[in-house]
Amino acid sequence: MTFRDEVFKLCKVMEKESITLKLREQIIELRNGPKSMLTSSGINRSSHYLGILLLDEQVDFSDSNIMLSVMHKLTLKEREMISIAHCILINFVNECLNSIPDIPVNIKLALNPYLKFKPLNSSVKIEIADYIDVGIFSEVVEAFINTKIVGLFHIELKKHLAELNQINAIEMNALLTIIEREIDEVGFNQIPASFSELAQSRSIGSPRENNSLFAFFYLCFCLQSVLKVCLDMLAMVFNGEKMGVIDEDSIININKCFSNLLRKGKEFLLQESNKPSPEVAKICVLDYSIKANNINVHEFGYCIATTTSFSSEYGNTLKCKVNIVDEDLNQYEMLKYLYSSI
Amino acid sequence: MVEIEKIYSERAEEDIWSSLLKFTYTENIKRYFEQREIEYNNDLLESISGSILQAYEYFSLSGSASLQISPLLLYYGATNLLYGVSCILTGEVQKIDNHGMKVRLLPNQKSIADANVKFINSKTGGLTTYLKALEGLDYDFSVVRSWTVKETLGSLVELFPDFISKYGNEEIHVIPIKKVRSDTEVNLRVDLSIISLENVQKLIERIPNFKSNYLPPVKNNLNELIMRKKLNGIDLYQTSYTGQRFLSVGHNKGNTDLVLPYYASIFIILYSFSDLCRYTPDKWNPFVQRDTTGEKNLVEKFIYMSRRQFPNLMLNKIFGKDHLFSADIYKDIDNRAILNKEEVLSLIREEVNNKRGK
Repeated sequence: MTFRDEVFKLCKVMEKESITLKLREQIIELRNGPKSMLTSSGINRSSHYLGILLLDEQVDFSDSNIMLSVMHKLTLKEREMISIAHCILINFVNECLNSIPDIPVNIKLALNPYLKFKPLNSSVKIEIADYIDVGIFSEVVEAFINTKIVGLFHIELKKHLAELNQINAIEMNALLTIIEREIDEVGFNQIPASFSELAQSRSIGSPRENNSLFAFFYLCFCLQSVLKVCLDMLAMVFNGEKMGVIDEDSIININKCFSNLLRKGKEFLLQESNKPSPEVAKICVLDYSIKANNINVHEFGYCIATTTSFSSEYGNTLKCKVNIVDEDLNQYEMLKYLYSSI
Repeated sequence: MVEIEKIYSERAEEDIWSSLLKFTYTENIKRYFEQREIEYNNDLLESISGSILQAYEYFSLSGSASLQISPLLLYYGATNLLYGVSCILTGEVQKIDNHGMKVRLLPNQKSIADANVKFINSKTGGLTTYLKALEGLDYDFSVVRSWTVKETLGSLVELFPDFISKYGNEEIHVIPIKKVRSDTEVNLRVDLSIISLENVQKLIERIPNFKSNYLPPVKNNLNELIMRKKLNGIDLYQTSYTGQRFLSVGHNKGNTDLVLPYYASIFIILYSFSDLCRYTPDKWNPFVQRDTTGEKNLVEKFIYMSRRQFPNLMLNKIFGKDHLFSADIYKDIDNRAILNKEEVLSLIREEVNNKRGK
């Protein structure tokens, strides 16, 4: 089974856990009650439950902020439930990263997708074993360590240990954030110029500088994004959200379908169907065929942007951009251009 | 999608007949069969040539005749033309014993369009023979208990506004549509100020294979219903000689939604009117002389439309593609790139990115 299959299997197992049902009930209650503003503002595309907890702390100091002043603070019970969800996700990330042999602490910390957020003022004391079987992640972690991307990371890590020891986790995490911003700024089907140059410099016989440290940071960025996708999938389970479906009952047009140094991307124009629509920062399934070209598509995409049009000249439509994810849940292609071994 | 051949024409009717009349020369017919490796004999060649020549005469005469006999002349022309085309497409002389239908207007039926058509399921009936020859299908009319001229008129898009204003929307069997292209999609739209949403939804239910080829229709903010073809769907719309697009709605008979080819609907109405004017002058004469309801106006429009369109539809059948006669055909080819908003933004991003990298 691939890592992707294992993560899907884990999601199915998690769905049936009693803590998941309780968390779902709590989240739905918060979303539909007077604290909906807190939960909808708190959950952004990558902070998950940490965002709610951080915002809840800010409500304490709400005098100068109009938006915060109208928000209701979580009760102790509610905060405990959100903390449980957050801790399960943190636990998952830690188990995955701890499985990589000889990984230095600063790198492990830097790869944690939550490091870029402010730490919580009050420490969360949750004993995970009280809520889930501690071995629940073991098969996924085993699959994680066997992915091509982790294999490559392990090899490359050894080559750069000396340089990496000089960088602390915050600095390295900031570098990964810069890579992310470069990608976001350049546009969906474009490649940052620095990436093109990096790929050229890595080609055999290139007279340019062989910038292997930059390539390693890019590898770290990809690995972190794999963990983010997993966290998004687990959060979907806790939130009771169904995976979006892009199929022949919803596709109006395939606006873009491209493959470049950076990614395989598709942009769809969709109409509502009786299946869930794709949402930003969530994985979705692509299931369609183009009979005229003998093309059958059954793959998974990570939705990076949506544009909804309501009651326009074209009715209600949804424009949706997705990166295709591979069996390692990696949505970026450039590794194969940077490393011949992958 | 049916291939469309555009032909420059300032006089469409004459040019259509000019193309059809090529099949009155036996050498031309021989060439047509030889290109398609179809065997022929002299009887077949004469049957085709003669029937098309007669059709031409009837059609020509109908143009100068009044409504007293123009339907009769047009029906004779249409049946001769259908006969000739059936022989061309099958490569066989067709055996026809009767019209394949009967028409009846009861004394209490005041409107011509209320006349009832009865189909005769006969192997040598005109209608069934022509349908078999042109469509390659055996149409089963045994399920048809009742079929009116009105519902057949209601399936002709060219008459749509007049039909609605005269008879209301009870017997509509066609949905006029427009085709809209945007940067990212092509869709079909129905103007809901002409047909209500409720009515369109009911009509769509009776379009065979609609659901398997189109996404569920959605309303927009312009009071239109948008219909989008599925990724692997096929176009179900047709195009009139006027350029008007339309969807044909099935006639609900028994458990079947029966959609007849467009020429067959015209043929059935022509037969009905010809029968009424030939055999029931007591009803037809007062209708032609003293109609006060406006129905005559609609019938005249139908006669005009049939004379223009029926031969065109037959030409399409012979060559298996649509022939569009228009004076607006020849235009310069402009291959300059017209970029949509997305493409312009993409070019700007690319340029900015390149500049940043330097």
